[in-house]
Amino acid sequence: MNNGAREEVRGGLEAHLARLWRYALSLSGARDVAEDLVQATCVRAIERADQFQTGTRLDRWLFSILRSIWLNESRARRVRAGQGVLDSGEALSVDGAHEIETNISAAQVLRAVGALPSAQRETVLLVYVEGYSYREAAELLGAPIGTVMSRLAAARATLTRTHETKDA
Amino acid sequence: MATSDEDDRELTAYLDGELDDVERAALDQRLIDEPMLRARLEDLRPAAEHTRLAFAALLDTAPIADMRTRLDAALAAPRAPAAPPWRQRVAAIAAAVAIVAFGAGLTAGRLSVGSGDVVAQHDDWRQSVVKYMALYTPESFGEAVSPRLSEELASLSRRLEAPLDVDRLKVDDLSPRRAELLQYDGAPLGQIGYLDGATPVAFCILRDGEPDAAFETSSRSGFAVASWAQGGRGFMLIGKIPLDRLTTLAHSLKKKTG
Repeated sequence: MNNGAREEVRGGLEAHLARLWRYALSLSGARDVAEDLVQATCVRAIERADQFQTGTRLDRWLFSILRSIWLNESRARRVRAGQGVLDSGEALSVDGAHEIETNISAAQVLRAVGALPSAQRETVLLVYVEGYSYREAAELLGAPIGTVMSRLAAARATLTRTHETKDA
Repeated sequence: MATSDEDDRELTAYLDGELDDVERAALDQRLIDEPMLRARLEDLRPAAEHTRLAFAALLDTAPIADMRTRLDAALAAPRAPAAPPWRQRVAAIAAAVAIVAFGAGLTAGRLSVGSGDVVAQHDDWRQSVVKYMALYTPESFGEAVSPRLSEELASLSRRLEAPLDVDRLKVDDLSPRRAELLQYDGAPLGQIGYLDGATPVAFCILRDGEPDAAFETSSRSGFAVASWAQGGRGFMLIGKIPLDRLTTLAHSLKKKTG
């Protein structure tokens, strides 16, 4: 029995709840589903705590569990989450008094990221929000590093265009 | 000459600190030679930082109390239930094409970075430096001192109109290892790289005409930061080293380069 690992997992879960939820939200596009995904992740992590390697990053391990639960659930129904899941059509209606920079609010950015194709959106979250290196993101996504780079470049181009349009 | 998708890929990897030394040097040269490419770099630059900030605000809206309660229950339970209700909900949503208000309820968490007063405006570039410093490793400043260091510094001196040479930039037991010219919003941004032990420390100078500002120190995202402005230039020393150590280094630099 790997007691060290189990204690680390059980004791460490709480600190990562909010970030797991944010990742789940960006995958599923629905708040209640995100919460359920986090719960499922916690349950599985507790069950498999023995498999966690102490000395590695718990948050990364939890992210990979969450991702695999989401993919399996989607695949089981033969309904992969398509790029329409987070739809930009349902606009966020926040009054734009506060801004990140000139003319850009957090809500606008989130809407623009939400409208990206799902693979780009997930890659953006991992690298730009969660600080994954290209190599780490490629490992989690099961994609070549070049693909990670292409997705980020396409996403940057789209987000840049969106902001320029907003400025105009 | 317009830039291409391939350029976007390279510029993106450059901004993300993912090019190796050779690729980076090649792109640095192209950036010097090609104004369009430089402009594209600046266009693409803010997207990552904006995304990070927007998603940071999202964290505040997480249903943390609910999740904590459910986690406590899971930790207390001997085994997870066989057919947890989350499966049904996940499936239902995955099947429907859900339309989502991604950031609904975000009002309270909206951001105000960079909006408003002059100080905040001139602080933007420093925020950008903090962001990209997070990508640096000891290798980022090279295994050896740049063989072209003197030329690099001479070039920076010209662009920043500030006296910079190896002697002036030696502080305590640290010597500059490489010097680069970047830009921020069209203003030249010089960066001089040091290693304190194995920890990257960067001295940055932006010639943007900002008003004089007193020397101050702070901790940002795990970095010790010293900043000041004089003679139309903003200065910043940053590194993941103890704040008092960084403060001492910054005071020396301020005296020697002022």
